[in-house]
Amino acid sequence: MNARRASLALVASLAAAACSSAPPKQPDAPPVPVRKEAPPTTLTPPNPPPQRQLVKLDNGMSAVLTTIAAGRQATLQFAFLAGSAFMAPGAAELAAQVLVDSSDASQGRGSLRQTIGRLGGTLAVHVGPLTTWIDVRVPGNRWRDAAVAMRKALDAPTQSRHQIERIRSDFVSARTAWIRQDPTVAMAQLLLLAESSSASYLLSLLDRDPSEVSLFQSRLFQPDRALITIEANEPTPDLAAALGKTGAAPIGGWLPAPPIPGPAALLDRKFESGLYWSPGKTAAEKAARCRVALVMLLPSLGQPDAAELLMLHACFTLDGTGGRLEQLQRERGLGHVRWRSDLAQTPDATAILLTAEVLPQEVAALWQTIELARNSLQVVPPSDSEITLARTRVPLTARLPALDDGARVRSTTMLLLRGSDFFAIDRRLAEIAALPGLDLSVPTAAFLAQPFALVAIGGEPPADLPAVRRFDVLPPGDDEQPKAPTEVIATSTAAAATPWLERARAAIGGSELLRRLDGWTSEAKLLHDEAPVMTEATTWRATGALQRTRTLLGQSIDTTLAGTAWSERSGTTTRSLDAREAALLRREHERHPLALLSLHARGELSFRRIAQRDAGDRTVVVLEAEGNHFDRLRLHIDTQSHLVRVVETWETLVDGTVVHLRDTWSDYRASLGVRTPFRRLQEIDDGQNRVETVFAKWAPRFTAP
Amino acid sequence: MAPRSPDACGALLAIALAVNGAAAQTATTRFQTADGSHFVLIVDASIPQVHWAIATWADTAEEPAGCEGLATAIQRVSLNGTWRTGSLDATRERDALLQLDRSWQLLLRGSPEAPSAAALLAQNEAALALGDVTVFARVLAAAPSHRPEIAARGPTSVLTLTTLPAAIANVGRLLVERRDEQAFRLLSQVWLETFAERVQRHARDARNIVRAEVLALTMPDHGMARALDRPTPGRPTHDHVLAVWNATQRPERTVHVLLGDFEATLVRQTLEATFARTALPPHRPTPTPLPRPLTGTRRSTVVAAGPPSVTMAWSLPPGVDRFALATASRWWAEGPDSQLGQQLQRSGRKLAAVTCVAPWPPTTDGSSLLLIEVTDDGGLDGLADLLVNACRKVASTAPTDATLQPVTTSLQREWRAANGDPRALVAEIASQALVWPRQAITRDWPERTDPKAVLELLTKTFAGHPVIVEAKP
Repeated sequence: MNARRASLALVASLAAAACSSAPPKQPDAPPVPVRKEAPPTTLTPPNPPPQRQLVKLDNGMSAVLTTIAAGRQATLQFAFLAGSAFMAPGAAELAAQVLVDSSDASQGRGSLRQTIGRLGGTLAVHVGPLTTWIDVRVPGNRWRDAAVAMRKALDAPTQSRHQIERIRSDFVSARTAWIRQDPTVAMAQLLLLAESSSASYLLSLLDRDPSEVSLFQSRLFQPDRALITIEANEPTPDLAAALGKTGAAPIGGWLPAPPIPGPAALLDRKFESGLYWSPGKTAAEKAARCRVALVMLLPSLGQPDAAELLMLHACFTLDGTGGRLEQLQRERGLGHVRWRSDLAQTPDATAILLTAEVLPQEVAALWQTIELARNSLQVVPPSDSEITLARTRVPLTARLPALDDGARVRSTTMLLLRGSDFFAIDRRLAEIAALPGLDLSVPTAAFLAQPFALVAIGGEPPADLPAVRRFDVLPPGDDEQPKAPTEVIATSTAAAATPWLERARAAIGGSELLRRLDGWTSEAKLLHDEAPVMTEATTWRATGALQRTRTLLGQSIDTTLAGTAWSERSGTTTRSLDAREAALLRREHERHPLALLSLHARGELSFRRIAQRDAGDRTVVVLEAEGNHFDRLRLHIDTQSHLVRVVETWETLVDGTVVHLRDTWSDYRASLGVRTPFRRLQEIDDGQNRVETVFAKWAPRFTAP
Repeated sequence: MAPRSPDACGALLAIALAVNGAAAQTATTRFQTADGSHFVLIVDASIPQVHWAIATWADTAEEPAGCEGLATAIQRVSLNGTWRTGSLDATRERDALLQLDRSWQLLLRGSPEAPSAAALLAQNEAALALGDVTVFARVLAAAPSHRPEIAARGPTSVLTLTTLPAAIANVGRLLVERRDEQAFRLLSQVWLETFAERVQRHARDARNIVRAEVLALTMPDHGMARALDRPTPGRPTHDHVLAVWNATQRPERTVHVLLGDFEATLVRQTLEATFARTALPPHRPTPTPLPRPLTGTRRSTVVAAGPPSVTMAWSLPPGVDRFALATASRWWAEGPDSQLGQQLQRSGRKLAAVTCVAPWPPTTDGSSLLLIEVTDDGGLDGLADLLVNACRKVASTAPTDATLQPVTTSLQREWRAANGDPRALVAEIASQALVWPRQAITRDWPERTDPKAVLELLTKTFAGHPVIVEAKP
């Protein structure tokens, strides 16, 4: 609770750190529609509010529990005082993504997101400057399952560099696509995270090392910085009991390792007011219509002057229509600009977002008009009719931060922690209405100090327009996906990969022989630290046919893939395999080094060169398979011996868990004309699970020349 | 033919009203106001605003030939104001718009009396100068309301906005004004935009030819058959516009849903006073065609772009449950994990992809078809027979709670992602209440679907004869 209060205080301080505006210019007093009567303001809830309880869990976490009607979905939220302003740019978002998207194959634990999906639910991550919230919505009867899944995710945050890098790669791809979809709206949203450019935002995500993500989680994902909210159709005492450390959903029993010592430093960043402009790059982009977005931060409802600030906001504009803004737009020849109203939100702040399309040459005039309209509130204070209209509108604007379910629960929780509710604004408006006179001069100064910005994409800023904040939408080379800086990108063309593949084929036995490789027969032992030795006899054909017998403690399991008959037999029990299991088995054999080189020799699989790496006393060249058959399959070819040393890939298991597989191949020996590895060390998810395969026999089979 | 008349609609919705007795305990109220509008009030004390959605039909049923897309276009312009709000001189503006309409029709007919392009442009400018499309939005915002927006949902169009309990009367008056005194400002511009979108959509979708053939064999009079054709340029007359508006906006064919923290009795009184009468003339809706009963399997082959495909359509039995239908469609024939998808894989058709749509075309209470579409780059030999045989033997692969569970959770997840937030939820409830008037209002996807109901639905469906259309490049 103290943490939440601290969070609110910090939000307020961020919001208060506002811009300075241009000197006010006296506009004509704008005519404003006059209402004859305002609808009565509601001062109390029309219905009894839901039963709500604030409790402290066994581990020190706060919990806000609410009983809702039957037939509704359950909502769970996990909040941490751990936003983007902490430690390093991008670390908060990556830490949250890793928490929800990482899995642990050794424990059979899928990611939190997958588990929630299997419950018929959805999961969303919201990161603000100060807090991070994970919103989970599930069918009403599944909230306990969701809480248990969250507990499991909290208990074992992944430390696997591979997994963190993969999650980062996917997240950067998703954010790049999000920015490309509507750069103006994305930039508006990023301003609330105190970013100054969408390109630098992406680069900061790429700059983070996996160890920084783990450090962030260790220091900031702690019970004393966390809060859980639950809305479900159960009495609050039952909800509280279930969350106890011995309950059915024991979030209260979550006790992570003590944080790694060191500070959780707060970054010196804030939402800076101004005109943010990303000019067009080509002549056509410079001449095309510009997308613009006006971002206006709304006051926190906890602020003492929130009602007055919201009134001034309504005097400025009502959802982009009316008010001083429209009046001045008309007077300055911009009356045709029609705004579309929306919200930009983080868990810590809400802004009204108005978007429009304008001619490039209108952007500067529009920005000046916006500044003029804002400043006019100081030069010409709102008239009685404007104030009457504003009083009507404020109760609705005050409730906009609670427009969607997740934001509603967040807002309600924050207000509850302050001992307030949405009706506090209505009561304050009633007090204002009863005042003999209303002096808005002090609130107007505060209103003008609120951050606001205009984002423009396209066109070209006029040379004489002062203080334009130019920014790049995407990092340089934005046509390509940004790559992790840990890899030296030599070249990404297939042509650059071909010589290495030719050398690898020559080292194995030549292209002609590999082109005719049709499968193999093998016998091997499988060794695992925590299991008895297993033997395996396999016959594999390039057509996809497989006959495999595994023997463990005298029990045999026969696996057969023949045409469309896929089965597994153990003793007298036979079970059919589904298409996913069959594909998994096939890919296991298809990624044998000789099989991959054979596919390339036949022109059925192409590679591109990714990097050249020094690995201890060896240098390897890394090639990545193109196409969709494998998920980011990479070959590591020794630059001296030209042998394939490592094959790594991502694989989706039958239960939906995504794992990173790394097969290290060694002990190459000659067998029927080719050199083939007789030892494989398979590591799953950074060595969390290791299986060593030692071949006693590996005999290739070739088609006729 | 199932008449979708005012009386029929009213009767169907009255059945739903009867369900309300039980629903009242969960703070849901359904009623009809004197003008015929249907209302659903859902009180939820945890929601601090009122989300209001109004669903109306926007399919092809009421559109005259050559005016496909008009129902959508007029909805889009409907927030540009009324004769009362937004007109500088209503009489002159109305005359100017009528004159513009006459000129356009003369031009399109190639009449020698048609005005020159310059004259037409001048008429357009004159009409525009007499109206102000920003006023209605401003008045609505001051009511107050937030983000009124119109979006298509299946065969319906839904206007959604957010307001406060104290403003329901104000907003209601503006909604009545929008309905009864609509000026259709900027319709020419929006009609052209709608037409361009339809042309693009048609060019992108290779299934149109196949689906049109399915309709030709099952419901040849269905308006969607025209909509599936390549759009032809035209311009609706003012009379067309009025007729379509009237047909789609008649209050008895409209469902309003209000969700939020309000006092239901007071709000009902307010709405009954506000929605007491309408200025729209009475209208008898065009009957919606029902699938033609088939006495045997009908086959057809068409030449179409895209991968070779087999499309099968089966008539759905009457009185289907929408949740059971969605579950049955997905379990049986949606994607590679479905029963049919797995059977295709096992039969060696590795390149086959199967999808299922039902009800199609969308209409009241699912009185339509179940459509199974299979593409196979490996060729179509024997594919249609394989599919028909599999469907006929559906009873041999009866679903269980365990096999339906993943289907149900995937439907729940998608539904939650699309409708999890109150504004989307209220729009969905309004749309579903219009399209499925016999079914109860629910705020969440059901936790379970009865396997027996799924099997019974599929067995009844596949007991009939299908229409089979093969498409080859």
